[in-house]
Amino acid sequence: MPNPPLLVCDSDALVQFFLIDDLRPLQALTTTFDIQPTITLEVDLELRWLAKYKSRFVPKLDKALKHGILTKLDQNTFQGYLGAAAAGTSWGSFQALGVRYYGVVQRGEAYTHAAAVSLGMPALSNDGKAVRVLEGQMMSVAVPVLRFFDIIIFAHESGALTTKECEEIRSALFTNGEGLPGPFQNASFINGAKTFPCRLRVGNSTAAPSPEPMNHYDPLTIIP
Amino acid sequence: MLQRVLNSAGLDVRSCAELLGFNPDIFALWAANPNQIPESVVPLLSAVLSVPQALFAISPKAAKHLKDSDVIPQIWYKFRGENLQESDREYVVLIRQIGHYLNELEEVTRQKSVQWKSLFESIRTTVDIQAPPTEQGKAAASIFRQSTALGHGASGSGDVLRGFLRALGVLVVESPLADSRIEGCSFYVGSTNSPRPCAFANSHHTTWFRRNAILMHEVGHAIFEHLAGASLDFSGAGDAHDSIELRAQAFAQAALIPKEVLFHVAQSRGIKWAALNEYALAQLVADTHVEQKLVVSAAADYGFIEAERQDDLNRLDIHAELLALSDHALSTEQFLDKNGEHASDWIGKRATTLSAKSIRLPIGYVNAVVDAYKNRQISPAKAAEYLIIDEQEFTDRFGDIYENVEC
Repeated sequence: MPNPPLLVCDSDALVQFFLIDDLRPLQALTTTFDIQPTITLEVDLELRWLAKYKSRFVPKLDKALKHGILTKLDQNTFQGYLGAAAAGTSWGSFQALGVRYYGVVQRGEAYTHAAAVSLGMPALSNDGKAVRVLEGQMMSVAVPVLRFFDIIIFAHESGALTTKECEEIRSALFTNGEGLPGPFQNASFINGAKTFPCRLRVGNSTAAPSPEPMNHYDPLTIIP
Repeated sequence: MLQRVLNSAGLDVRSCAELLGFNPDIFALWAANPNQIPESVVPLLSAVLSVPQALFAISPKAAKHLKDSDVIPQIWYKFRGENLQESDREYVVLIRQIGHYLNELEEVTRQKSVQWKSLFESIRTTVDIQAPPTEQGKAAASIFRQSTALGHGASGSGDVLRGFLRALGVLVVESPLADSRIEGCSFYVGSTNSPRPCAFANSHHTTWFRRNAILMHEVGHAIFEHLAGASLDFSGAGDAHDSIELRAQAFAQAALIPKEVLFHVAQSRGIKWAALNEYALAQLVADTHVEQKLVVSAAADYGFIEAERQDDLNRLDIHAELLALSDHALSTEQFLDKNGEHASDWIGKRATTLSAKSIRLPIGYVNAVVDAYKNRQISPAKAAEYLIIDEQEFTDRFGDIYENVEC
């Protein structure tokens, strides 16, 4: 299975990247794996005004967009990926799905999952509660849903981040009052990573193909 | 187009952006160039500003040919009067935002209440439009009581009034606006194709007994002045003299304290009308759930007392007697002390904290949001959005049902 061309990112995970002020893991996805992290217009809007941080991340967001580390999934960009999407998918159907999802989860999550489902791409979102609510309401969610620490572990394994840097990231999130996944709450990065069910794996083009993820929690194997 | 509506409404772009949770710079950009507004934001802006969604899609060139009277929503004509301040209009924006959220929530929970539509329509078509205003108000109140649970008893209805109005689909908001002259107002909220009436009472320095009458007065306006955009009542405005106010006042009185209720309460308390004193009057207020002035006015209208006695009876100080008879006469602090409640549990759970202006949300609305969250119909972040607080504050206030669940 080829690498997905897009990773649709939600605000909560990107806020953590902005807090640690290190976008190299996202950059590595693009440069080594041809996976472009992207954001919906709704996530762009959220990141420009957050309840807790107000407009604090606007300069970092603009810089990431300017350097292509992130792209905006506007109508033109969206339509460029329709070739691999299910028949009948359109900008209009994506917007309609977003409206449905927005009834039960926040705007960013709603349009992130709606975009990922519409285009058949993975998503990056820490909000597992939103996933549970969407699934409980019989609404499809992205497959798979990666979390911030999936990307950090992947970056560590692929050499984009050192162990020391990963430890500092864990500490920085903790210091900033960001919730940490259970395995990392009372453990070092290395120990936490041993029990964290990572959903992003680096595969080998010569090995047998990895199983395709079917659920939001299934691991995605990507190949350099 | 957006800029014109904001100007007409007397709303500052940046304040409005912060109220709605958008970056002020982005909002300013939208105001100048509405075709940059993401599609997902249009329903909210449409509902809050009372502008049809289609107007946001009009090109700036085409918009130039539209006159203000073709564009500016009716409600903002009312809210730009000289008695009003910018903060009043900002509260209206907040309340309209809650109205929009309530519509969304009811869609998700499939509990849409639209009974008000048929009831209000039935009143409007039944009441004689040529009758004197007070007769119109009384006739409307009679239909209102007969068609609803209010007519089922001969006792005060203040305890059930709010829940009852909410069941009809009316948004009832009581919040302290210390710096406002508005005592009560009514207007329609929700998108232009899905409106619902909203009755607002300013709870700053008003008693529960008075607010019952204010709310029903505003419902009266919502029934009859549904095309007026909004109705506003200011504190210290004195007795009603124009026909619209006379009708709303007659409606409130006859809906809350009709003759049979006042008669029944007086009889069950053994009250002699000829010998009304502080205690007897306090008993009437405590049991009918309306303020002293309205009780006295109703007693005179129904012929229980002579009209000349009204001023004397209104001057009786019943405060001490009423305090002993009804918990509703207690101030919030006194009530909390008496019942061992904490302000944080009682009021704190209903206050918005993310908006630049804080508002006290209706209990029924807060309960509906929390129920939807507990039934896993909405995420905690969405529930927090509906209560205009952040997610951490939401779980602090209402608990985390996912606490021991791996997400």
